[in-house]
Amino acid sequence: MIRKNILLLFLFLSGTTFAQVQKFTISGFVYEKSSHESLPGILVVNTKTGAGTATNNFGFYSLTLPSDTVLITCSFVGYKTEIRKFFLDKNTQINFDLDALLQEEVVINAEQDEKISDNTQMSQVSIPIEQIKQIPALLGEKDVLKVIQLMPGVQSGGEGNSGLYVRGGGADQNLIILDDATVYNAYHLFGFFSLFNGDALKSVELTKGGFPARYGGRLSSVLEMQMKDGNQEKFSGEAGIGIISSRLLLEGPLKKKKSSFLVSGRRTYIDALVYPFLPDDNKAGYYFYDFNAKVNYTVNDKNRLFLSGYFGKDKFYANYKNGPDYKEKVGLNWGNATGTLRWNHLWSDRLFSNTALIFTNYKFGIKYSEESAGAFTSLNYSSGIRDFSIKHDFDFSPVPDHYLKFGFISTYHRFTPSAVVLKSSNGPDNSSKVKTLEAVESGIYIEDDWRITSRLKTNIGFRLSHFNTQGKSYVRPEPRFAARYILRENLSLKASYALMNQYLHLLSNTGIGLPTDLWVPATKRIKPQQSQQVALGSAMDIPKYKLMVSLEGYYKWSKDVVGYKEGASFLLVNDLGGNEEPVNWEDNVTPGKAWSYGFEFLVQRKFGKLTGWVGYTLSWSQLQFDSINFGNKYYAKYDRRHDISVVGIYKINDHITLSATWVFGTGNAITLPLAEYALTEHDPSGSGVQQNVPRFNNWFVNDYGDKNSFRMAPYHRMDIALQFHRKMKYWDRTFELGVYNLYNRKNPFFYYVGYDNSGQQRKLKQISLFPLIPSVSWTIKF
Amino acid sequence: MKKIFYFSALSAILLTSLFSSCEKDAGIALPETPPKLVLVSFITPQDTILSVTVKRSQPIFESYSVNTSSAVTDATVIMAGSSGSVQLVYNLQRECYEIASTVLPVIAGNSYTLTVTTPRGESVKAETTVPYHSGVAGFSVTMTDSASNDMGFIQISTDFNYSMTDYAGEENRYRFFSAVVLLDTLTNDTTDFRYMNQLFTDNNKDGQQIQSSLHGDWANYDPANTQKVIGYDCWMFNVNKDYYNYHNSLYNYSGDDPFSEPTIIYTNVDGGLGVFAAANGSKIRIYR
Repeated sequence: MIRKNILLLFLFLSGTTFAQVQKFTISGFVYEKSSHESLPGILVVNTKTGAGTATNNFGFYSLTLPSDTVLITCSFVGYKTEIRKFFLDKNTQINFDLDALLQEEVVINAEQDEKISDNTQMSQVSIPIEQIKQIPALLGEKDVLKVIQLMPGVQSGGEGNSGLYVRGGGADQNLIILDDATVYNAYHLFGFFSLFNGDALKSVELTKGGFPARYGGRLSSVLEMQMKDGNQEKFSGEAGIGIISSRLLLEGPLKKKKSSFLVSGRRTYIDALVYPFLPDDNKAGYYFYDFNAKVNYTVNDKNRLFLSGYFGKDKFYANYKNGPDYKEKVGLNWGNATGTLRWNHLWSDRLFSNTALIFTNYKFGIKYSEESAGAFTSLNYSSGIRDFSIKHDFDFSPVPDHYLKFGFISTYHRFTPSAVVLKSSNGPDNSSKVKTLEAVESGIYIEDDWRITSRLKTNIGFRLSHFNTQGKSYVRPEPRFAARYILRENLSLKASYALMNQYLHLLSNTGIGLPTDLWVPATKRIKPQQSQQVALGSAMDIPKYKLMVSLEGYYKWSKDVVGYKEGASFLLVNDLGGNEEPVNWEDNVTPGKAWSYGFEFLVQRKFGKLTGWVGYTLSWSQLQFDSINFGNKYYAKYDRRHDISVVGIYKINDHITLSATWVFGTGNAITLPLAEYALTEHDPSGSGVQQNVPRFNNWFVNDYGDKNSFRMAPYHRMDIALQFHRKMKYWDRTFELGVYNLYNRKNPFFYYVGYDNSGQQRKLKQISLFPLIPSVSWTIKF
Repeated sequence: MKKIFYFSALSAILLTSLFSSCEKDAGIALPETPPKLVLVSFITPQDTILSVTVKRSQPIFESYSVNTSSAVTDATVIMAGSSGSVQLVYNLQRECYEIASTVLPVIAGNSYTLTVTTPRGESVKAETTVPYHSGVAGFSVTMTDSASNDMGFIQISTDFNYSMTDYAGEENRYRFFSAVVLLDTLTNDTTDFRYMNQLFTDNNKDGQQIQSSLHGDWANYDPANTQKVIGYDCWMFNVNKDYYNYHNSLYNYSGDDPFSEPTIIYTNVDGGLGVFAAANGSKIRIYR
């Protein structure tokens, strides 16, 4: 049996056809015509039989078909469909250059190219980058993660927060990948903005369930982003000025159709605006910046190289002087750096590979220094995570009806939960405490997209993951399964199952995406998190109205998820400079279980004069930890019974685009103090009363009722934006006027116990963050 | 240039409006929270007196601050065990309901109920079971300390090392508790002052010897210079789940903080708050 399989594999790899009917392969790349940018996710279909495939992340496709007359169509939303008809009697290479549709053409194009009902993959959303740029945003800062939050099954943590909570999972359970590199902290300004503004991105795809075997390492979602390669045809760019930041993108060929580059940057200037108005002896400021760069080089028809990187940083600083002798400086900074070197190789018409060397680093630091009359003290604290990975992925189309993906990834993690350096002129206190942890995480996978009949298609996959740290090894199999059955044209049923393991834990006692959040590995004591998810759904295309409709139900159960023991603190900064060892984080966490289930409904229109979507989620998510809430189950903070989002983008004409979003969500489940009372501990010594200090061992505590039994007021908000486009002599200009929170809804950010106006009676008070906020921005494209 | 200036000015105005966050009354219906009876009672077979404190909780949103004199003096407090039930009597000085344990002996392994009713019609009930082991096996304590009496303050610094053996094959919880024994050289009376305390379980240590070290510092005001530290009283209790959960939540209590999860105080009182819990322990006195 084994020998037979090896023989079959050999026949596949050698590209030899072995069946009675001769089969040949059509393969190639799909590019955008004007920029020669490779296009991922483009459907290439033999419309005579329905057999088809989609291009991979590098624009490559391979379709093996029986020898016959074929009618190959290559199509995607917003592009003119390319059709080639010929008799397939040999392996054929066809590269498609898709031409973007003009506005009028989009409107009259009755064909619906992308069909949600055809795809085996369920629980996946992709949003065209152009749409992201048209959706209204806080202060006009376009933000990929915030647009993703508008999709069913995805929730935000709170007002303005970019964190993703997918199908009841935590913000740490999302694998965010940019050009194959993991981004550990995807947020700027304490979570109000994400690292991704969309300028440098080619595609954004979120998978919430039914995970293909090529993905692993997180429980709840995979957000995969591809950076643009850079325009191969001509030098072009984009520049924008907004209220809080400016951005610039430049791209162009280094050697036409051979090599190109892209650089993109963004920086905020709140600090520069405020700086002149601050007194000389008390200066403070904050800024963040992002920088993306990519170059690619086509060595020959079979080999292509890509080098890409992201660098971003947030910095807060404050300098205080008091007279000539006293100076105090405080600085907080955090940032990510990623780098990816990729090599695409075409082994044959049917076998494509991508090899990547990946580096990613996240670092958070605090600096404090004080100088007083010649004496000095300085303190540096830092924490972070650094990864080196190697990845090798294959795409293989051996025979008609099978499309295989297989490969491996291995990552060396180095965690620095805390590094403290203290220097002082007041004695021999100079101390340095650096603790690091190392781990190796690997995965090997294979998946087969198998068209069993013209109606039934499956994606069966298997991943074997491995994690090794501190002499402890975990090896875990992860079966994956997805199936689609076409009931009738444009209507299909889908089902999926996925088992996921997560070997990294995020320690965060705030849950609001602060840079102090700390990544740590699974250890001997703290096991990896594991989840299983089943999903059932139906997908329907309504070509007449260009609508894609999906309805999905899911049930996800997880074990060994990490919770924080009540009263535990992870601000290791507290231990700065102390002689005592910091509290071991393992003592502060408790393993638990999580359950989430719900229904998601989405109607999406990706092209036409009016585009956008309506999403609705009905969901439940519960947690249970041995050391929290006395082991009783409770609703998670982000348990959201109802979540609605409506997104509309209407092109009034070639010059004006109107867009609006409306969101509604059940309030977060929180714990509120209802009453207060005094308690005592058991004191067998009978020393309850100390001299003149009655009841020194009394505790005044709050009665909170059951954990998370109170609901915050529902969250709802409407944003609008009006974009004015104009063709100028050298560039296209877009001027945008936007309003965030149009009807000035005061959504609660948090509640606290305050006093009424008389100061005599306590009241529940709420803090809201963002009132109605207008914004303007100005963008040129050349 | 002029355009950029206008743009900057506009940005500054908008940013000011952004960062002026908004505070207002929450304006939402809060759950009704009538005052609840709060019971606290710990029973051990070693006690000579059974005592119960009864207070009332105070709804937060109707008051200015916590009322510390909320002791309930007119309640009917009944404790019952397998040997019968007794009504406890209010002790005005100690602000609790009491009775001698000879009337209702606390027996290892037995369950007890506590029922409290008031003339207002309030009625609460709690039940607890005394751990069936008598004392803690192999409990021993060693100690090194230093003491000084300076500027009217007695100061001590202590290191305790205690050891005990866990009861195998069952889930056990323990509490170590120590008190400073102070002698008044004028009256020759001794007084105990609460000192150090540690709560733990036999998780991962089933049936094993459990050892721990505790360091503590303590100071007491003694302007007349008549007091002297003569030793330490140390207890090791085998505690029941109610006892453990209650103390654990009390020691982890962190109060209100909008950015962290509040600690919910454990209660086993039906219809009320507080705890009725039991322990069974051993006591050692060490002289210095």
